[in-house]
Amino acid sequence: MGLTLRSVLTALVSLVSLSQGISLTGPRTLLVVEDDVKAQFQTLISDLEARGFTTTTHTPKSTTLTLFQHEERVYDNIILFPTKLKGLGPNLPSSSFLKHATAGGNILILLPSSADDNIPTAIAELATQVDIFLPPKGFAVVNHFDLADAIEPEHTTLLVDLPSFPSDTRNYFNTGEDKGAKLLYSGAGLAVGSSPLVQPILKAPRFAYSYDTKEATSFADDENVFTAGKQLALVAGVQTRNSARITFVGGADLLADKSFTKIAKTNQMSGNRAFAKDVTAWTFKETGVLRVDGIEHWGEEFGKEVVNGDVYRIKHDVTFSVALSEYSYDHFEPFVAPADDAVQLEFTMLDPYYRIPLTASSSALTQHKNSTTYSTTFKTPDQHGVFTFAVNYKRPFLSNIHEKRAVTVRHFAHNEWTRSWGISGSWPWIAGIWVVVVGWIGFVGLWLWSKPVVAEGKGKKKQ
Amino acid sequence: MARKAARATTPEPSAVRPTTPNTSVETAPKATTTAPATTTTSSSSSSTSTVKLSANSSPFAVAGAIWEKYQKDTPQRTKLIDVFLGFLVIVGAIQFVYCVIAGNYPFNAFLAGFGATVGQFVLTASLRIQTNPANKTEFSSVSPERAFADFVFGSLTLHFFCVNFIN
Repeated sequence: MGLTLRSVLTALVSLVSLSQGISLTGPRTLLVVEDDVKAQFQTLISDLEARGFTTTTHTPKSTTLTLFQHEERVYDNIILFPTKLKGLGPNLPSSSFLKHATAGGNILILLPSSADDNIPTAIAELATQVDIFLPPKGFAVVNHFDLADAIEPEHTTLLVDLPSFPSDTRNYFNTGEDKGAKLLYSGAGLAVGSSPLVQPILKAPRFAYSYDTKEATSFADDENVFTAGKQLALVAGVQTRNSARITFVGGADLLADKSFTKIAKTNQMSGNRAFAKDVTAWTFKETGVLRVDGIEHWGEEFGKEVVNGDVYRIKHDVTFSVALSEYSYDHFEPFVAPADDAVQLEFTMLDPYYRIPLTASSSALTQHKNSTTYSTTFKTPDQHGVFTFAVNYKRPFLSNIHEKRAVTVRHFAHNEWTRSWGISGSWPWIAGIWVVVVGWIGFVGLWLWSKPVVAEGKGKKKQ
Repeated sequence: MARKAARATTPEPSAVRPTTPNTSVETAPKATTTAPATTTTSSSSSSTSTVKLSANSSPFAVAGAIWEKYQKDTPQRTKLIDVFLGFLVIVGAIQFVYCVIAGNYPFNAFLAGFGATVGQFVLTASLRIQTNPANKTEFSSVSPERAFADFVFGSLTLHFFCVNFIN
């Protein structure tokens, strides 16, 4: 009875979330913000609500705030706005953020743009735990060679190009209409560690650097420069192993209302609003989420009569197909891998015996019309045992795919070996055998035929 | 061919003895007698040989004498066996040389083909020993018919094995 009620409830909940058609994690969004700061981010919040997110606002010190109830996530997404406070409230320790991410929730963290503001200890701890390094209080990024505003003496407002990535990485952060738009940025910046889970999303221009504005008033030397150029990340994204996402924005003004304006220097609209949409969409899993729609493999032996069978034979052709689709805001669409990237199949027994690229196939798997079918045909190795078809596709900004299917690879049955006459190399020796046999038959015939002569000779000699 | 020559030389000492060739079995200990020794005694028994050999006879003359002796004293069936043995040696040598030149893949085929000639040679040689009238005393319990039946059975088994082994 309880089970039925629960399944009905689950169906109802999934129906509701489907009808809203937004984030795959869920729409419940927590804004940790004070009222005066919230006023600076009205456009960001209304854009989120327009995309179907339901927002709940709490101040950092709120005592009624709780992230977990009955060991379930209360919120799907969290946005931590900058605050003047040195620490967040007792209900928001750094461990609660990791627990939230472990349970699959996403977090967007906006660090203060002003060098005078504090970064709460809990956020600094969280950053260290995910291999992102924040400069101490008082640092700011400057670029003296590309001024956003000529009248600003400190040069702390930067003009930054929209992100670009190598051709093997999908770019989810340049989807706005104006691809050449500049971003307005001010803040301290981040340094990104070597963890493969962390990816810089937006990097500083070449001549920008982050330095200590309090210590170095006249010039900056290496004592008080945090990091510089392309090493300096302005926005960085973390995707945990369970594909939850944590994004750090080095300067909150990047997403604030005041940046969604015309840039004085170029007299063009800044790209900030579109970029804010891209960053929130990626963080809250509206983009870059992959789904495996189906896996099919079959062998040469039975063809497609036996799909996903348990047993294959060594040195036989096997075809493997996987159907992949990608979430894009409110629907799944066929996933197309970047040009220089490849979805790969591993055929593994302890170690991969093969690692081969899967090619997008024209024939879709029958029941999955709305996905790309990646497939390949290969010959099983000359080794029997329990093998695994594994698709291990882990790429920056894409949710992790690690699919495994174990099958048995058997050896030749006794009647499956090539017969001697099927191997042209053995023909001389086959001929040898039959020459001996025919010669032997001739010999036996002559022996029997020659008997009387011998008997006669013997008889004569005996006499 | 080498075997033929060896066989042919064996009766040679007996040829110069006063006894008949049929009893040459008893001369087995003397089989190692060297050719010069033979030729030195040949003058005393020249009446039994059509070719007269002296101490300084040419090798060709010796070989001719051996050949003539073989032709004269070897039974028809033994000659037939010798021809078949020569045939097997040739077929086996061809297969072996082919294996050396062209490679031994598939190896079981080579083993079967070459083994067929070797095995057949052994069986045929056994038949020759058992049916040679010169060896009659040693194989008094084995009649030539019995030896031939054994030979046929053994050969058929060998052929069956080889054809199976080559698959």
